[in-house]
Amino acid sequence: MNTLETRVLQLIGENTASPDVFTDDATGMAQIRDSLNDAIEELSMLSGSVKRSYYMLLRDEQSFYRIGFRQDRFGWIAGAWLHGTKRRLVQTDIMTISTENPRWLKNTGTPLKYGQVGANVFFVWPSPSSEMIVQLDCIVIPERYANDYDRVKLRSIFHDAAVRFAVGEYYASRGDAQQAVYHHNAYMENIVAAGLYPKQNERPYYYKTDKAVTQ
Amino acid sequence: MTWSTKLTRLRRFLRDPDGNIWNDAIILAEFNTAQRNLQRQTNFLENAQPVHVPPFYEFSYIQDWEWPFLDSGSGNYQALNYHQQADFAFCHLWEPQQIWGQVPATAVDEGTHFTHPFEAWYCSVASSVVPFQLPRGFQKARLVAWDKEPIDALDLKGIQGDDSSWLTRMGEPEGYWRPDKLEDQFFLYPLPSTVVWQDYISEPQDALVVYSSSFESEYATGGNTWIFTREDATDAINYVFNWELDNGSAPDEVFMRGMWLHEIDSTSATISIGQITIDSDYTMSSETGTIVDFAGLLSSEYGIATDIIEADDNVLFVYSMTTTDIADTRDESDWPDYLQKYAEYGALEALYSANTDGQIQSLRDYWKMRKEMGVKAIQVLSSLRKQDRDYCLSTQGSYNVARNRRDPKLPSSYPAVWR
Repeated sequence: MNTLETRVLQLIGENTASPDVFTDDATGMAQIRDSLNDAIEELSMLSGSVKRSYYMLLRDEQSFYRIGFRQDRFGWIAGAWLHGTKRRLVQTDIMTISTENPRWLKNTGTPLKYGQVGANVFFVWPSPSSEMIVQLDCIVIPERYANDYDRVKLRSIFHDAAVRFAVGEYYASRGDAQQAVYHHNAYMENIVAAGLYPKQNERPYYYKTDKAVTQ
Repeated sequence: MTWSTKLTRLRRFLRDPDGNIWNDAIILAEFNTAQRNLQRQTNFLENAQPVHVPPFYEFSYIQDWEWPFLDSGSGNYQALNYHQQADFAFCHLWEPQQIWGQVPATAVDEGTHFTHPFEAWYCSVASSVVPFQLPRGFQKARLVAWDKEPIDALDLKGIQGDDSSWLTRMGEPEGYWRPDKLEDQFFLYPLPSTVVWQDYISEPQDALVVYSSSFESEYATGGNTWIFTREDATDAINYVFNWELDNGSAPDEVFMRGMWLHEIDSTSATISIGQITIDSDYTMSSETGTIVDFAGLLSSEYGIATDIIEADDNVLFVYSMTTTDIADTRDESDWPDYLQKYAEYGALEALYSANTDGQIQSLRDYWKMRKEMGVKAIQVLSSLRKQDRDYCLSTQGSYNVARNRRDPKLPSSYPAVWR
């Protein structure tokens, strides 16, 4: 039983030392773990807080790639870096690139742009003239934790929110909609208070004048 | 996440673990509806898929009544001509003419008739157009390209107006058209005059030598040597069944795996898979076995498995999807598993609103609220996927492409541009 699960049991009035219903094993904790994992998925998705880098081989003259991850779940691509040319690929989409260049699928060379289609398809333009490595910085949805010793990949500032999410679902599973709504609202308040875009807080804003040349 | 796992989750929230109020069928139906509605509200699911030319059909049939008896996973082709109202099939146009009583019947066909679509390219002039199956879950096209050239959506009325020989026209396809919305088929216009024959279908055969760990490969000689286990790069282990990898949490997709192909019990082939198959060129990965020679599937040892979508000599579709209904306990939803819970919320809302002993309005409203928040979350996700985009302001109608900072630039000593 990890700290999040203990907090959930405390809030629903369960004895944490010797639980009555939610025993400290995979079967007994299944419902709580499911709810906490759902919360972690949603919070990771909305905050984009887990980023992983992958090195992918681009095949010559191949534009489209369907990708599947062995660990974690692919969310979206936050950046693509072509090591061979030390160049960042610019993000685009099917409609834009088709408008700019209807014959874009025919072009080969060094990739300049990339895009994503649906949940797991990635494309580059132009298609590479030879095999090359691209580094994809991807926002991922963490794998669902299953044991006490699995790492909970969630920023600590969101832990309270995840607990509230699970408590709300506990009450929903007991038929108490009023309590479920109350705790889900608490979950929402926690999200807003924590801020989904913490990076914005780190950025100092200032005015620039045109008196000095800046690069 | 398979349907059986999802069913357990749903029953937990319905407080009906034994199915006393809601049976499995109604829960499944409401989940399928909910996941379809979720896609309609968010338009999140898209796909890119090539359609092979010539098309693959497992069966050709003639009479309408044959269709329900064809166990096909890739579509069926209704050959020759079928007279819908009179319930008879015919080959040449003079046949119905004679039935109408015109003797001698003089109607002349254009081209040669065929019964399998690939035969059209063996006829000097084919007598009819060749239907292609749209990709699974096709809803709306965003890009359609033949051999990497974009083609337009046409309609038959326009084609017939422009080209009286449209039926037998062959050449470089410039567009596609659909006969109706029921059959999920499309036709190319003109039909490609040449196709690239690819050796897609080949007989699997047993290997001469099999081994279980990769280090054994250097000792396995004699050709046709294959590893019969699957390798997990993360934990550096070899395994046969899925449950070995997941400590029993993931149900296996088959009940039996043989080391050799001949160990497959032919009477229950649908649930049994032989490990060692060799396919000279291509095979549908999961359908034949775990060892496949799939051109383009990179090793998962890199942590990311990549399947190349081949657009050469094929029709490439980039399209928004509609979800495929779950039918079996081992089926999985088209939605990424971290988004499937929002469809569950929609199903719970519908189930709590059904006129049963379990109808509770407050819980219906609660799950409705959760579903609506889920829709908003997916909409946020859709916008987050564009976070790496470079935005710039442009004048309406101008051609404006963001300049890449690493593009070649003129040297600083270059004279100023004359204006």
